[in-house]
Amino acid sequence: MSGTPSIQALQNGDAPFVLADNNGNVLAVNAAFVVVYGWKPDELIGQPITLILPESFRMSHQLGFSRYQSTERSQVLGHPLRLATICRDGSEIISEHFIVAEKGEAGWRFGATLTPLPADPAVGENTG
Amino acid sequence: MDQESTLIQQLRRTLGRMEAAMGAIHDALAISDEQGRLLWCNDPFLQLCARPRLQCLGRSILWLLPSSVSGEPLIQGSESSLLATPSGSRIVELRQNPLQVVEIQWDPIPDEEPPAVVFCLRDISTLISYQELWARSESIQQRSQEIENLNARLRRSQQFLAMQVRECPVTGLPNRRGLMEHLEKTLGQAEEAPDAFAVLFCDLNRFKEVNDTHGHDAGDELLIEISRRLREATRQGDMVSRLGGDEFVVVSHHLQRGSQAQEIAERLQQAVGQAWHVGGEVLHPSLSIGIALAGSAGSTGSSGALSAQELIRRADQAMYAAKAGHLLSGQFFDDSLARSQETSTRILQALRQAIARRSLTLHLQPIVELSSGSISGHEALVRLPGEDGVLLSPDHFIGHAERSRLIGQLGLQVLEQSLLSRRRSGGRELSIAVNVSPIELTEPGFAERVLEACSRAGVNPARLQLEITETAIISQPASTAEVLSSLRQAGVRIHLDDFGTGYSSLSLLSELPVDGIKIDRSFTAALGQDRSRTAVIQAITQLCRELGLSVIAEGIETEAQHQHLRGLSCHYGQGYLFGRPEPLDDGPRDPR
Repeated sequence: MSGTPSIQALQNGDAPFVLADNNGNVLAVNAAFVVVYGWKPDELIGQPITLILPESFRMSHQLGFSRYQSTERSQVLGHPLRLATICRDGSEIISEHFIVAEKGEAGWRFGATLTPLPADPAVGENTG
Repeated sequence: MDQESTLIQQLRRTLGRMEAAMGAIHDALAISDEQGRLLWCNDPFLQLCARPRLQCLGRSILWLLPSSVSGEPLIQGSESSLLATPSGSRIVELRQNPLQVVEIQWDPIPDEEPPAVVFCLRDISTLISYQELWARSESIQQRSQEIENLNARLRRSQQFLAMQVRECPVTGLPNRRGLMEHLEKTLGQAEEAPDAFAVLFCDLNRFKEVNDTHGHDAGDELLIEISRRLREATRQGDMVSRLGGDEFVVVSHHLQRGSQAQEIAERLQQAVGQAWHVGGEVLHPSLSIGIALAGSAGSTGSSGALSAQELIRRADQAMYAAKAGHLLSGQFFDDSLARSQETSTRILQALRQAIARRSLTLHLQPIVELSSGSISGHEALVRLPGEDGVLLSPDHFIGHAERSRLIGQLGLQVLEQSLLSRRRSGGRELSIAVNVSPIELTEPGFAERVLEACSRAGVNPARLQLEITETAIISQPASTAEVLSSLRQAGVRIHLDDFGTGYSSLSLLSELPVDGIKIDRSFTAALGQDRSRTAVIQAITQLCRELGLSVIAEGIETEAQHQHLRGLSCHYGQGYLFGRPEPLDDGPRDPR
């Protein structure tokens, strides 16, 4: 995907960042992520990335994640997504997720920056 | 990679395939939690909700789904009660045009923890379309029948009400129904107590001009005034009625002799003709009056018992004769009018038949360039096949065609045949001259029809000459000039026919929208015989030369006339010297 920044570039930036492996487990978070969302690295590393996703998004995430492993086609990679992120204290912060994927010897790795956004009741909340 | 990781990868790929497979299903599929919040859905479900995936996840499925065409939610109930109900399904119409109907089905997933519900929405429009269409068709037919029944009832009511109306709303006079009842009553009484009476059919002359010039309110005022004058001019017991438009009928009773009806007509004319002021103008209205006598007033036309209808028809026919003759006195219906009517009926019948069968016959008479003697074109002359195969010349039927408004169809057929004749002229660029009635010129779209006919026949409009009379130009100068101008711009040439017989004035020639004139045969016949007429032709040809108008002399029968006209530098001529009108099928002949 031309123009898409590398995981390395995202990781070196100032925005909160999280890295996951091809099983969907967290490999690393940066200091900004810890500050903004309150999770300590040892509370997340080795745990499913779905910990930071709202409950109602987890099933679709798992299926979409699996589908990418099967088809290597995705509608969510490489462009900003407005999603709720679950903080350590259980609260939700609407964030802009920017996810990139890279395939290495150990399989796929997924890196994402999560930038907090002003709350938008139309996104990520159940207004029904 | 350890075994656990490998297993996870295999499971993920399996899940991925399952997810892709569910995405490929045409039915809309979704899974919600126990509160109805969307946990997963495939693409057809997103299309149904018309929202992107991330805006749907976590929202209430009841809120996401569109409403039915009647505005009801697809699934009845609330989030809290969704799982309280067992599996369910219903069929809902989403849209009417085009028809879209879905069957929605929901099933709780047994033993799932936390509980979840699977939704499946299937488009069944095609399955029920035929049945639905049939039902709708029946419904429409039923509605149509109801409307038709309603209309029929309304029509009957209108007819019933119309039958109750016996009075003209404008003048307060009895209307046609009132007149018919009066006449029928009179005829009925005549069997027991004979009464000589007259039916005077009165048509108000030039009423249309009042309407057109001063408006319909002024027209109504005039009708009211005429009604008043007619009532005042009639005797007690006589009846004045208005048939409609500008037509009044007076029934005058107890006549001592037939000629008394004429005196009544003159009295009516005198009363109506008093000055009437409108818009600063003073008008003197006049009537055309036709008279039919009945009872012992005398036999007018065929004898025998006459119906009310026949009496009115006879008076009407006599009125037309009065109008044609510009009579201010009344015109009686008599046997000659009856015969004239019969002739007119026969001619009209033949005319209608000939137009319908396209059996009008065209004769062509050559028009010759006088200096060289070569044919430059032809004049088309129409003939009507009459009884016993006799061909009638235009003098016998054009007037009837004009009065019956058949002239438009007649003229178009003549034009089409004439143009087709040019396609058969063997590559020679001969012109064709076609006569046009003043009435045709006033019909909307005349110029367009002429040019379309040229286009259909593949004939250059420049080869077409239209011959019009002075009456056509003088009666409606502005509108006629506009029509002629558009034709001339397209290349059609306009010739003024029968020049010298009407209102023609040499000084008018420079102002008329024409390309040439045709000198009437009476002038040609007088060449060398009548000095003043010869001088007129000389003046006409000279003036036309200076104005750039072409001159065609009609009725050239002798070589002396030919040479005389050549000497006057008259451009073209036609007449028996060069050729008689010949049937089109025989083909144009060279005169020399």
